[in-house]
Amino acid sequence: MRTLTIFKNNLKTVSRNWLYFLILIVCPFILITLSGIMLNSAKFENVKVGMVNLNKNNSLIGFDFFKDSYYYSSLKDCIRDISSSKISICIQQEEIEEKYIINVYIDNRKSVLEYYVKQFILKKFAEQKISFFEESLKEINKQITLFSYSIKNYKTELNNTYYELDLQERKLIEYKENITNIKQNIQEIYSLLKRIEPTIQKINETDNNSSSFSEKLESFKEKKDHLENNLVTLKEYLKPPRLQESEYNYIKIIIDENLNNLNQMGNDLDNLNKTYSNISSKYFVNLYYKNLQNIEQMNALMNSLENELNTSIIKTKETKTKIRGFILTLEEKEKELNKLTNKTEKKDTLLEFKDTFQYSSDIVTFYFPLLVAIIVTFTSLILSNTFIIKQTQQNSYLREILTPTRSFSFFIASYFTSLFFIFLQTLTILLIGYYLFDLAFFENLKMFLLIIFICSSIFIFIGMIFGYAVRNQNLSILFSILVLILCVTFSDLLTPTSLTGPIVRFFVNLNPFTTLYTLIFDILLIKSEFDVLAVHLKRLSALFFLSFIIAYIAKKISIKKVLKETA
Amino acid sequence: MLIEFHHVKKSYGRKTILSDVTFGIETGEIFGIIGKSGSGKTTILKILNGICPIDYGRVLFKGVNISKELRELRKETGFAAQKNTLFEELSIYENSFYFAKLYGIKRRDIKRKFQELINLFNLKGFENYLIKNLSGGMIKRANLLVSLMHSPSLLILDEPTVGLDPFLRKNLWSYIRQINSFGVTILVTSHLIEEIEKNCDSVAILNNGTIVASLKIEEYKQKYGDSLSLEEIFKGILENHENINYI
Repeated sequence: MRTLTIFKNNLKTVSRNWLYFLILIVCPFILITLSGIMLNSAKFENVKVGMVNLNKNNSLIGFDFFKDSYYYSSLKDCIRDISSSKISICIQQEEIEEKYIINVYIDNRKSVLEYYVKQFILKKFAEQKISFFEESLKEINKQITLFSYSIKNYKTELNNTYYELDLQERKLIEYKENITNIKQNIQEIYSLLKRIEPTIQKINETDNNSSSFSEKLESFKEKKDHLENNLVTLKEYLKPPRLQESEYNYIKIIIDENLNNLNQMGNDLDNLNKTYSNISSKYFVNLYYKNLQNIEQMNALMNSLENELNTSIIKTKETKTKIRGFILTLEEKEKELNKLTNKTEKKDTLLEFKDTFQYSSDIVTFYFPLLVAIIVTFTSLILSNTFIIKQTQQNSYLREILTPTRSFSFFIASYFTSLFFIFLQTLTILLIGYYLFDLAFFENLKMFLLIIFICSSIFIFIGMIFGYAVRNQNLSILFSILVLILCVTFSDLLTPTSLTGPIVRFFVNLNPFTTLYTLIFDILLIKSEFDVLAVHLKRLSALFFLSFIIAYIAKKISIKKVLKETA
Repeated sequence: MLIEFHHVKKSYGRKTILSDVTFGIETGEIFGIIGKSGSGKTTILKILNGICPIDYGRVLFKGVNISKELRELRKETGFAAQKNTLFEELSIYENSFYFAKLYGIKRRDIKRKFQELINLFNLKGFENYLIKNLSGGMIKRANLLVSLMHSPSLLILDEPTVGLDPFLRKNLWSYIRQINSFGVTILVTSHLIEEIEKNCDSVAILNNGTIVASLKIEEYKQKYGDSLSLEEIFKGILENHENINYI
């Protein structure tokens, strides 16, 4: 309750100082309105451009997006008009030795304009170059694909040939093995034949004695006939009565049996004679030697064939190795081609600068968050600082200290007072933004107010720290302004954070002004969700509590100082 | 005794302000402290306000050490400094209301007390005047008024008549006496000994950080003679004290 009383009292004392009130409420209103009007009128199309075409031809590259163009016959005239600020850009185009030369002269006294113009022209130029580059790449890719296809075909052919050769080699080896086997068989036969050569020779010799054998056979046959006759005579002789009938029959059977045998023997001898006479030993001997000769010839032939097969196998192997070499070379080339194709295919990717976030490109909309951030930061810092200075410089401060009310109540009430005025300013900003610039605050109003609350609180506490710690009014305000300048310096405004080193980036990330600007931008233009902003909020909350504690310590120190001064 | 100082010592750095102060203030009296500039008068008042901690000794308020019950002491004391300690942008009523609230007084009681005091200090009709629009005498009275809004049992006044013309001084003292008549003990410092002699019940003479005498006015007269004014007694005592110190 006492805090509320102090808060109300603070409002009363501030509101009765009209100049103070004017600066707090009216100035931000005027500032935002004027900034909005100025930004609203800024359009890139308004840039005046001078065109110098020395070839007297039509423009080589279109610069249609410049609405206000002037044509000059000489570069000198065009540059003179830049000097007099009649135009801001001078574009000179000419064609020399089949080369397009475009010289763009920008009024670099105005760095922002220079930046935008360069961006626009480079974009246009890059678009054309990229288009040409893409066409060339497509053609190269087409050719590479054709080469690659041919190489593939050749490689397939060579591979087939290689496999055929491989097959052939295997068959040749098989033949060689068969021939070796045959050769071995022939050798064996030859050895066998050689081994029976003495026998053959003997047969040959026996053949020379073959007449005595026939004669002996004839002699033997005569002897058999003689014996046969003797037996017939005997049989006749023994006929009964010389011998009894029974004895004669018995003897007759034996004699008949012998006669039959002798007859059989005669037949056999005839057969033997016939057979013997049919067999020509010379023929065999001749045949043997002929075969032996044939085998020797065959052996020689086999040897020759084996040698030729060996040669063929070696040559086939050599051819195979060569073909393998060709295939490997082709594969390497094919890989290289593939790599090239991949590269060219990658390069085929369209280079396009795309906006990650979609928001209105209207300049007012774009700069509005920055305006809000600047106003909130400036007002929070300076307001709280001057308010605390005013409070501590008043004689009533001593009387307040002497009351039994805790210093924390005064501290919180002072904070709420500053926050209240910031709230009024924010409300004013919201209304201006909504009614004058059609900014949709209400879609994410809670988040917007939360961010404003935390950030302005941090700056209020910082302002309070200087208000309490530095008793000299001018010095205290100077410190606050210094903090403000530091906040702006260590932000994205002068140098983009992404370009800075890790230490600078750390400080920039700590800077509540940067965070405030980023968050307002995200909330108003990108419509970011809470979870996206949560990381920033954590950091801000930490800063909030830290600045709160330091400000309270500063308040305590201030009380001690006042009491000491009074004492 | 409402207030007791026992061998209180206070220094700022090497400079000794109070070397050995011992005196007491009885409930309901107007107690004056006189002394030359820099003798330590204001320091005694600030010790009682809890603004200035002592280095040695004890200060008791209603028998309780003030360093232990500072918040309670502040509730019981009212302080009116030499200069204006009110918000210039606020009216007498707003200042009264604000500071009374800071003492935890309820709205109804504030209104009643304010009416009582506005009449007492003859500021009726100026309730809603901003302090910056009031005259010096009215501001002094408004200061007293605000200091009394929480009905303190001890009112500490530091040179209350500084900057006022004789008529306004006389006028202001009449208010102080009226406040005292309601039972409020008043501790007042002044370099105008005549005022102290006329209006105070007891007086402590402070010299070089030491209480050289602390007696009732009558006791001074009895001790040093009826014909001598307090100023003459004061001078004599100081001369004597300084001679003693010199020897």
